[in-house]
Parts: sequence; structure tokens; C-alpha cells
Amino acid sequence: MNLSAYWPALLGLLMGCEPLAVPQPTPLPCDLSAYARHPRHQTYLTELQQYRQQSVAPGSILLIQKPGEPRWIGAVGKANLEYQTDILPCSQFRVGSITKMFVAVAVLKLVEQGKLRLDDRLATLLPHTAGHIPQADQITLRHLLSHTSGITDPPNESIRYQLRIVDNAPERFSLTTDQLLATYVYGKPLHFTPGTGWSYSNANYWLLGKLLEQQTGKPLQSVLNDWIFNPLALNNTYLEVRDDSQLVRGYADLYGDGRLFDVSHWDRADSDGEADGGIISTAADLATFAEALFGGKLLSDTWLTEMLKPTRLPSCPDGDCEYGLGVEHWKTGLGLAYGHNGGSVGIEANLLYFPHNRGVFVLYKNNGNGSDKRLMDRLMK
Amino acid sequence: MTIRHTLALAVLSAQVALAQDDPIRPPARPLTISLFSESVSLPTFKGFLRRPNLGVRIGTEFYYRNRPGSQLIQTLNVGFYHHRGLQSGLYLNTELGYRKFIGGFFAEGFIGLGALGLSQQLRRYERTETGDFRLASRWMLRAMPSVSAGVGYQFGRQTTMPVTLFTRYEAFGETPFSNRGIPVLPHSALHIGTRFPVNP
Repeated sequence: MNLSAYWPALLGLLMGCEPLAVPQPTPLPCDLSAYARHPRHQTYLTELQQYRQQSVAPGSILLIQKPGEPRWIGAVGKANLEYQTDILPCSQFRVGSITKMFVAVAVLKLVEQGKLRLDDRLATLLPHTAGHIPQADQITLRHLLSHTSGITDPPNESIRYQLRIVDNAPERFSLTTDQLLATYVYGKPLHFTPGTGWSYSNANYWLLGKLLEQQTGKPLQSVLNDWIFNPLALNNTYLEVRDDSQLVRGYADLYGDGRLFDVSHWDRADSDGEADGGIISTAADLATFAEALFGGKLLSDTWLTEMLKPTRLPSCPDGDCEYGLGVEHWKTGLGLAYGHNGGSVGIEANLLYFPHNRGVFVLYKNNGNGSDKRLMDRLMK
Repeated sequence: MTIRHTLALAVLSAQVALAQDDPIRPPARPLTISLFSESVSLPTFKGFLRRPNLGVRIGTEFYYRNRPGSQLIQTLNVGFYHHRGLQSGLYLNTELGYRKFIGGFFAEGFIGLGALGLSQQLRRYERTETGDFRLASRWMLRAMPSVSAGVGYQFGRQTTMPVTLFTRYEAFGETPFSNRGIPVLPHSALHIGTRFPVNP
């Protein structure tokens, strides 16, 4: 048998394997002139360029808002390497877990309205979880919001979950939250007795998304539209699944050799439409949201204070879990900042509010590796 | 040419080879052909039929020990698979294995190492000297460790033309890989195949 006759056919198959198509974005109308006239434009731009180079990101966006100077937004690099499209200050991007701040606000609005209490039990709120999630009758709304429920975190802890996205992203994209919970959460042991430890879990927010839909009788995106996006005129922010050809694409060094793969469809499959990380937004809209939230325009003082109150547990370092209700506490060189980090395979986003000067800091890049964010201390002084 | 055409050609030619019988030729060599379904996963039997990513493997065997009840085997194989939305892989590998017979039935296990040439479907970019990025080759070469186990049945054991049918579960890795602390991208493959002697 002459096997050599088949090599051309096999090589033909290999070479005929077409790369996945990348949709071509259309040019964005984005007025950059105001930022170019900002008194510290060059300083901020230089810092952003250095950050992008150091973090090996195709593109990066920075927003600085401080008292005494106008808001500045800058962008350097590329949003889409296939078409070499520039990233712009108005570019829309996936915000990852910053979504949790929005979802927490919506939940606290229901608490504020007296429709929910922070001590309500998961098994009561979502009865179908009883018998599926251990100690569901002990897990409270507060535990879910503050990541003290002990519920497992499939996106970060389950290799099976991560490989499923690599293996078949469309299948993962089609899974509903109920299916995610049934596959990766139900029947899994808790990390600790509810309320005795802190362990970040996206599944807490999958459950909170379900709860919001059940309580309001509306899809989660409608709840966020009605309560947050529309009242604040966040016109470039949404949660629902839409065509994503205009979004900044996400990239990751999968093989540790410095080359970046376009992993946008993995990020889309992992988070689009989900309460743990599905929001699409812009730097300006994120800053407007932070300004409104911490300025008391979304929640009353009582519930904003409750949201920001640190979770304190003996099991956390120095007893401080550095997390409130959907809000991270960052101990920066300038003091405490509130906000959230968002990350996925191909992106990293940060939204921080500095109470000492009411400053807002947004930093985004389209490489999912970690990064040194000390420029924040220098720029937010 | 589609995968289906290639597989059909491979099976057809094997049948032609099987039909040939020339007593003056050197001893026959076993030819192993298997079709397999591949997935990126930890070892599991789920998903192979839900969304099969097809592959084909052709190889032969050499025997360190060849007794009626057992064999100590070295294999040499070439294989190809196409994983939709991720990559195509063409590999050359060798395995060391043991096969135990009970009558015509057998169970076998192998460990192997190979070279895996990949054509990635995800766009890949490399950094230039100016810090920008440009499209990079989608070809990659990776090491391919593997472990597998299977069962089968050999027909016509006492004849000069025994034919074997088998199924084998194979877990193989793609390394180096480096994302979220995972050094090997794990793959699984479920093979169904046949082995028969052919005259070289």
C-alpha cells in the first residue's frame, strides 16, 4: 500500500483549514479634540503608552477624572488587529466583572424598596436551589453579594468549564444560566459554611441575576436598562447579546511565546448576557456610572453605606476581605478606592472611585494577562 | 477534498491491499487504521458524539515480544484531525504498549510521544520592533505526549491474514501550552479501527 499518495490530501486538508472570520468594524464617530486640549494630555498619554507597552496589549484606554481639571480619556494602539483598527476613547469593550457592581446596585434597589432583605435565604428566594446547593437555607442575599456564600466558582476553578469554551465555544454560548448552574454548581460542595469565609465566585452573581429576573418579572437587561442605563443616559452600555463586530477584540498569549491569539469569541461565549460579567460599555459611561453611584444618585445613603461596608471575617487577611456588596476595596497609595476589576481570557478592565477627591479612574486593555497598575497612584494624586 | 473523501480513500485502499496475496513477498506488516473523534477536554467519554471533530490515524506495529497470549509493542503512526473552530493537527507519534489476549479478545494500553503540527483557526499575532502587532503564521509545532487504552477482537488468529477490530480511548496533550497556569492543553480521542497485515 502506497501511503505517500495520501500525504498531499492530508496536507491539503491542513492548509484548507480556514481561520475564523473576524468581522470588520465600521469607523466610529469619536471627537478627540477636547482631550487633546486637556492641560495634562501629554503626561497622561505618555503614561498610557508605557502601560500598553509594558502589558503587551494591542490597545489600551485610560480615563482620568479629578477635581480641578476636565475629564480626560485617551486611547492608544489597536482595537482590532485583523483590520488594524485604532482603539478610540469612545470604543466599546467588555467590562467583565465590573458588571457585578451594576447587578449589586439593582439588587440593593430591591432591598431599598423593601422587596428583599439582605438576610433573606437563597432557598426561600430561589426555591429550586434547595437540595441542589448545599446549605441553601443558610446562604443569605448578603452572602451572595459579598462572596461569602462558599459557592464554587466554575470560571476560575473548573478546568472542565474552561476547556469546554476552548472545545466548543458556540455550545457554551448557547447555555442558559439555569444550565450553567445545573452543570457546574448544583451538587458541588461549598468551600466553607456560609458566612465564615470569603471566596470570589461568579456563580453568586449568576444566582443574583436569576433572582432579579424572578423578582421583577423582566429580563436582566431590561432591569438594568430601566434602573441604571437609561436614567444615567449610558447610551453606549448594554447587557443583552448583540452583534459584537464593533467591540474591541480580546487577545491572549495562549502558548507563552509572546504571540497573541484573538480570543474574542471565547470571551463572548463566557460572558455575553450574564450577570457576572456580560456588560459592554465605554470608559465614559463607566465613569458616569461611578460618579452617579458614589455620588448617591442610584442608592440612598443607607444602602450605599451598606454596599461599601467592608466584609470583615477572621479568615481574611487582617480580618478585612476588601470587598463590600459587589464592590472591591483597593488599598492604593492614595488611600482606599472603591470599584471593581474585570477580566477574562482576552481583556482586563478596571473602574475605581477615589472618595478622598471624588476621582474616577478607568483603565482597559485588550490582553487578558495581569498588569502593573501603579500608574494609578501617579495619575490620581 | 473533504475529510469524508480522504477517509473513504484510505479505507478503500486498505481493502485493496488486503485482497492482494503474493507468496514471494517478505512477511506481512500490520497496518492499523482508525477513525477517531477528538475533543479538547480532560479525560471523558462525553461529547464525542455530540459534536464530533473527526480524525484518522494510520500506523504500523513492531513487536519486542510476540507471543500467543501477549505482545509488547512499539507503534509508529501518522494522524490528522480537524477540530472545528480551533485547529487542525497533523502528527507523527510512536507508542510503547502491551496487549493481552484471551482467546480472540484483547485489552491493550500504550504510552506515547509525538510531534504535532498545528494549523490554528484563531488568528495569531506577533509583536513587531515598534511594539505594534502583525499577523503571525498559524502553524505551530508542539510535543504530543499520549496515553491510551483499548479493547478489541482478532478474527482469524490462526491464519496468515488475521483481521482485528478495536476501539481505543486516547488522551493526548499539546505542550508547551501556557494559559492560566495550565502547561498542557489536554485532548481526548475515541478511536474505532482495524488492523490487518499487508505485504510491504
